[in-house]
Amino acid sequence: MDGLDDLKFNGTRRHFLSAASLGIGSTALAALLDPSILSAAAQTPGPAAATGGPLLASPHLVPRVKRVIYLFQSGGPSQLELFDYKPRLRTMNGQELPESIRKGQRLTGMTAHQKSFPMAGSQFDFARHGKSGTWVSDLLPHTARIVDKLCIVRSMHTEAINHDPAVTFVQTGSQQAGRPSIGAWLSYGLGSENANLPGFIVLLSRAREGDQPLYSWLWGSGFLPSQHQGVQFRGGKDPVLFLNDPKGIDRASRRRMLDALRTLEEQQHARTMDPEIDARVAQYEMAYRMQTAVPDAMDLSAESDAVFDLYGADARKPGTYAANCLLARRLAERNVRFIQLYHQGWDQHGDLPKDIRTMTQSVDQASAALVVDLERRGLLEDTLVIWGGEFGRTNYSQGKLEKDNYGRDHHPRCFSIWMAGGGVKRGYTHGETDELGYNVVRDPVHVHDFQATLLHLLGVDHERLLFKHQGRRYRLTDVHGQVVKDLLA
Amino acid sequence: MIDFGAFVGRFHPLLVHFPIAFLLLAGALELLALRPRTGPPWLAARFPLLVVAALTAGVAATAGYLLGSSGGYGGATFDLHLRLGIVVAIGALITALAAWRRQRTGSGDRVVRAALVLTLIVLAIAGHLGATLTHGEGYLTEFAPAPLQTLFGGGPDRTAAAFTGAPERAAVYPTLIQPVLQRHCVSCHGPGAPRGGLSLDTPDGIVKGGDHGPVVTPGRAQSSELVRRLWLPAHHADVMPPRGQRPLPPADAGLLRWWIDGGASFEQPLGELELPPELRPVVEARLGPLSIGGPTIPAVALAAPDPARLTAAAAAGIDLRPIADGSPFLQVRLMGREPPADDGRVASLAPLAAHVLWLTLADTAITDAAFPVIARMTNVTRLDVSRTSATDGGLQALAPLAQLEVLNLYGTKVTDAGLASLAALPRLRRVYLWQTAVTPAGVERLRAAAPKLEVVLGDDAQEDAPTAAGRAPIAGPPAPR
Repeated sequence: MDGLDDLKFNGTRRHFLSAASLGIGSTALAALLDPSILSAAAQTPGPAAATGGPLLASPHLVPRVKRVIYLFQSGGPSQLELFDYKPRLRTMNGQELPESIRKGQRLTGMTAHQKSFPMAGSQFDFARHGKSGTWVSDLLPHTARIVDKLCIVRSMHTEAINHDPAVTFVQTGSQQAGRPSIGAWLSYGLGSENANLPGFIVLLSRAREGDQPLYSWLWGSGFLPSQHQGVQFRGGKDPVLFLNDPKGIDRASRRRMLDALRTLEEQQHARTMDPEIDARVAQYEMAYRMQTAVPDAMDLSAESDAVFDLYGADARKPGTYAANCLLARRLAERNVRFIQLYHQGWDQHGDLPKDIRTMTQSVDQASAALVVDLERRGLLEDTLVIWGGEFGRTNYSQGKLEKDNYGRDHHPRCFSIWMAGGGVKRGYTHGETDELGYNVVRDPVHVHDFQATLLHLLGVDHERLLFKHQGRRYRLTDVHGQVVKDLLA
Repeated sequence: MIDFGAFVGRFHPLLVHFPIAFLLLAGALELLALRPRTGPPWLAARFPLLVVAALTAGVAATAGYLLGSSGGYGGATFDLHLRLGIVVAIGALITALAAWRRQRTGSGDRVVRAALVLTLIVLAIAGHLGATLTHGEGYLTEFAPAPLQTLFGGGPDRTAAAFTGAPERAAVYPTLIQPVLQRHCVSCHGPGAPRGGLSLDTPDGIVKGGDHGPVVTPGRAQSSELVRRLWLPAHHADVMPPRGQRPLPPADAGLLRWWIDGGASFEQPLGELELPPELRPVVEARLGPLSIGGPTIPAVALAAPDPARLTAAAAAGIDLRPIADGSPFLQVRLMGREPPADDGRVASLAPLAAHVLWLTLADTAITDAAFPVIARMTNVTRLDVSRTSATDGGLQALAPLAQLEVLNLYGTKVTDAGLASLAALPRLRRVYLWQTAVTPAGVERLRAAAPKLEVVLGDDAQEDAPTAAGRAPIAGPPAPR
């Protein structure tokens, strides 16, 4: 009964760790110690990582970054209006999409029954920017100004054609929900650098109402122990729900309660050896430490006016994208490993010119400000910032193509993202789409390749970070993915 | 079918020592004979010696000829050695005949001596060429002291000086691989009659392979015959270079393997290939220091750090961990502020100084007093002392940090005076100076003193105005169909 022996070993290891002056929760400093340093040789696989330190005592490869800020743009931002300049679409505006380009690509139910597919040139002008001369749309003036710091990938592609499977695919490596998200894998593999804050924090914002929803499995832990899930920090008075003590309970009482609870849970664990009990204890203790750490991290009153000028006036309003970007910088300063922002509202099936302006106005200044702010503090050396969505948009118009209005449907075959920070090239554009912005013609980067590259930058070999579940080993990139070396500095 | 010629020919390296010894001995005799009273009796041995020399020279030359024609030899060196070897044999014969005449007629000493001297000169050249055929170029000079190396143009880095410019742009094959092949392989697998039909001096030859097929499988070094033979045990029949010759240095063999694994391209520049850490110092020695691309690991051999020391440091509230699996280098971070103990905590790192690669002391209570300890961490490549009370005095102590590439000084009290010590750091590539007391003038001076140094001041990003040619044509909204 190997599984049972593993669990028994877990129990012994946990007791050793908790008894040997490394009791979690005793002091914040001591709790940061990586127990694996002491048991350097012991690297028991599988459930052992549910207790004690992260799976990897040290990364597989030399890491180039230590933390990631993923600015996820939910809904599918239109690359043709933002980063992928296609003048030919303008000249061919209104013409039917040639079958030679479409090559029978499946369409969503929304446009599959359209009688015609008129191509829509972008209403927005592009210009070359920076020393690299990269084409960026006029919708993103702030991003354009920092384009020499960015690594833009124009040849991303995916198979998923609808939002939920597509976002799930980008975040978990599979179109079906149930697997751990990137942040959860990293928390499981590399652990946290700050014991008082979760290693995976999620911040949500939206610029338009009624756009595509998000689900908590997108930052969930899947089959990994549940302490690796992303913790959502909300704007407003109570950033983390149910974190603060209710009236009548003070911190000392809370500590006594937790100690008593731990004794009970240890007894239960000795009987059933359920690893989820360990996970729950870890989360209780983490919550206890977060009670002091979170208000400090979320308190923007210490920031100077100059900082708010940099991020834009929105940054003073909690719950906006700009405020979240500023928070992301503060969390990065506190060494949170994976900070994910979700910004909803990019699903422009119709009214694209008007709505995309709303969207870019809400993100442009703050995204650029985040990069600049991280750089001047020296954090960009070992932080990776990613900006992008789950798929792109079609070059033909959804619905009637009018003089000043059009919409675009989902398009998985090509989309653009950008990255900035340690380990990726600066002022570099990777990959190319065809003249009409439909297919990738050079250097395609699949979502799995992107995930493999992301893990590589953090020092993790995507083929070696595994978890055995239901009889087989899983990894973030499933059985695919190759590190894109051209993106690495 | 027995190849009798090849069998006999293989004795050439053995047989050739006899005429060499006898001719040299004859030369020594001539010198001894010059002494006024005791000299001349030596000459009694002259004639027999020269006869034996001529006979053995003839036999050795014949064996040599048979060896040469047994196949696989070719090239300029070989041709010259062949001709000069025959000249030596003929010269030895002429010298012997002259000695016979001297014996019979009693005169003609000078003829003998002249013939002998000429033969010896040609012998030296032919002999050196013969050894070059066997051992390769640069055999004698490879380990020579530096003055001799420059005098004779030897030394392993001859080709390095030929390439100037950014190493990342250097095409890997001509600058790194071709010299290795030239040095070790082309003497046999070169122009003329290459051995085994394999010619390694041109890209076409490398791709084509030899009599038994291609020797390079791009992308798979372990399936490539070229690599397989290099890695065979020394006593194996097929090992390359063949037995008796110097095997490839590990650096050169590693380069070949890496190049083949990377696709064996003849044009790809270095920047496009992923360079494994163990080859980095080899490439840097030949092409020059590579710029920051991927985390730099200094090329020093270090044992793993003592676990007891790691535990002690961890107990003091210092986060230390290896940078990667199996690496002896550590990333170190002081956690929390503990004034005034922070300087002491840094001091406790002194025993591990050589292992520290990345050091983060941001937002701690360290003072300038901690910097002499930091200065002992000579392998540090990244140092973060932002938001501390470090001043110019501390910076001056950092002079020994020869590997330092990135320095974060944001939020410190550094002034222009401290910038001067930064220019002296040889590998410093990026320094962060936001919210310090430096002035634009000071920064300009620093940039002038260290042009390759990137200074991040935290000004808003300035962008060049878009060129007129770069703007998209201004058009109205798209016309409907």
